[in-house]
Amino acid sequence: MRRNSGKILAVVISCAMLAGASVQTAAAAEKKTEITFWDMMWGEAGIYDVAAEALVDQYNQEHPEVNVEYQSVPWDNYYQTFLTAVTSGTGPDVATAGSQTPMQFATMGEILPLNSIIEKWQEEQDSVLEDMPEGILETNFLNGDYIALPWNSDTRLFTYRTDLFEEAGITELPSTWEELLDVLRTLKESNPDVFPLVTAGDMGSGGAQNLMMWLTVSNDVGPVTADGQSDFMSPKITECLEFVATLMDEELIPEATISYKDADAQKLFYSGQAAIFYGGPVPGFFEDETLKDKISILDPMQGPSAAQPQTVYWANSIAAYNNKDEEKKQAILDFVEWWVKNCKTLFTDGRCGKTPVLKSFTDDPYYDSAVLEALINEKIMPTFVHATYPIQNFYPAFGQINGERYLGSAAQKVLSGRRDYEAIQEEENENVESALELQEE
Amino acid sequence: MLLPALVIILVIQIYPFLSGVRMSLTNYNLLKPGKEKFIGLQNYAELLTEDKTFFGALGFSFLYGVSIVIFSYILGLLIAALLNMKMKGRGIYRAVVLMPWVIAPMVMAANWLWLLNDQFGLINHVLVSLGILKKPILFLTTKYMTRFTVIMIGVWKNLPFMTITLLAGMQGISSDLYEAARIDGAGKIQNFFYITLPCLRSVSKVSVTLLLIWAFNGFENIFLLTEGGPNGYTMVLPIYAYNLAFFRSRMGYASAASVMMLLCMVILTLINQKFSREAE
Repeated sequence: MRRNSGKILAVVISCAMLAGASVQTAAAAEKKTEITFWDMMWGEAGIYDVAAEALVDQYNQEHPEVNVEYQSVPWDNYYQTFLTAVTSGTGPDVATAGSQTPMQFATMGEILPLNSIIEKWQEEQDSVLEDMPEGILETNFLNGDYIALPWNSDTRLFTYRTDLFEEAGITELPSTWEELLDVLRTLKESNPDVFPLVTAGDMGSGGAQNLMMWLTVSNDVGPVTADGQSDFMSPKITECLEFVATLMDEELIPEATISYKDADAQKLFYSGQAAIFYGGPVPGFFEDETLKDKISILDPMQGPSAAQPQTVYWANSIAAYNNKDEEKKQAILDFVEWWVKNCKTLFTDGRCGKTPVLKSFTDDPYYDSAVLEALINEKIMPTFVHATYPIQNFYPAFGQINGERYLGSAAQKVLSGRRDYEAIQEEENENVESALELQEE
Repeated sequence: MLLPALVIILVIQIYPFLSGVRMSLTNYNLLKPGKEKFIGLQNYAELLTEDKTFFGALGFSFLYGVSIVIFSYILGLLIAALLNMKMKGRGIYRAVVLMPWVIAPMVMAANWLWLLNDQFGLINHVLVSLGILKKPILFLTTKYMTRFTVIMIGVWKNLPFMTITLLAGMQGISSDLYEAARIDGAGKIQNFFYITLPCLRSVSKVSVTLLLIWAFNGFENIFLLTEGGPNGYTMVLPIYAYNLAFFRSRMGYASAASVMMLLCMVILTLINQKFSREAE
């Protein structure tokens, strides 16, 4: 009995010691700063999110005092997801999202300014500043604060079938709208069964909006002037609408373009039913065995009122959301800075198909064989102007002007058969003015 | 015993409703936190006097709701009458009829968009291949065709509810009535108009009212198919209120649009009830 009592006592003491050790380990774990990170699905599911999660794991290993919890967010209705979460206090600490999202939340007072990071970079003359394209940091500068840091940029381009161009005897690529129309006419004449150009024209996937943004930017105009007045009545916008009308009237695009989503246009191009596709870069086209040797991208183009070719791009950023915990704030800022400097694998392993903001990332051997990315860097990037053009940064009314797609709405009116350009412009001008007024209130 | 139910109703129905009405009387804007103030009926005045999109959306919401109810009722009645007859495989037919109702809206929309596509959609492909059409039909491009298409898809989606409700009503009609009518020499058509239809009155009243509310309030069908486009042709009030709230961040104004929607629905329901009472 006594021997048994001794054994029992030994077991109890061991358990107590183990429990004590567990409590100590738990206490250490409790000390970790927890950061919730929401990341959009910037590439293909199963490839991009895996690379992003690995990147976050790397951060957690390098920073044992912090635990970043990764959550992948789908694009469908993402703004509503963010809005509901942030306004109810259940939002993320850090997030990547749609390009204009940080500006929308900054207006609501929900964004943690990143000025200290920029100041540190400036003080230390950090090479990261030189590594970024000029002006890209300022796209997220609002009311004296840097509200987000860009890490990738996104554009729309014309992918074309080189074999169909050869068949039609087209040897020179267009550099103006007029030349593009000539190319489309030649393609139509050469092969009437193939659509010369396909593009999304719907509002849901932003097809009509993207088409008009390409037109306005390449024609040196935007929905507002550089000093924030509506510019929708500009004759340059009339030229954009006339261009859309020409595409429709001469049947250079499918009659049902107004209802096409991006996937519809891609499908037509992929199946050989179209010679040119306008839309986001599709890395899959350039990796497809049947397609990759007979496609390329067109050069940037300029409209009749522009002095040089310009291509629209969106600066996509990472932002920190307001937090009352001062200690946590520094951990959040550290993570944001680290992400911007170390996110190369999202492009190389995650193959997100976007253009990295840090130019040095493109020295990676991955870019030696990445045809599409190399073409974008070489041909398109030098002509980049921001989506908010002619204003350099995201401004509060842009959320409504772009969100409600007033440019796209004007294009849709033309695609649906209207040719009263002045009336169309007046209607959208009214909308833009009311958005600007709302911003001022 | 009633108290828990009452509390739940207050929390999940009455509070949000009253909160919405209160918000509709303010200038609450998500982008301007802390600047919310009471502005009386200003939002309603703006909706009714300045907002052209509101009236366009209101008009199509009425057309959409009423059309769905009419087509669903007529077709539902016919299908229910057929399913009420004694025939082989009746159970299978009844299950098939329910299918549109059980398909997830997202799957439904993706499939319809594929079926209706002008270039690679099955419907156009079959019609053009068989030589019935020379050119594909542009289902979601022109004003009237797009409206017709979303209404028909709405009917397809809601038909099972109407069919099953009316079928249940038909099965509750005593066979003695038909037997007596047969003895009196009544035919099938007379039976339908003088026995079946009058006996379905109460079921019809409930199902029509419910469907009217659902269709008028319907969001996902049009949102997933067209998002109110192209060119605003299929804009309905729920989508318009959603855009006001989430793109313009004007929660007060969006709430006013939603309250107007509620008023319209109450009016529609009262009209329906009045006609039903008169018919009795």
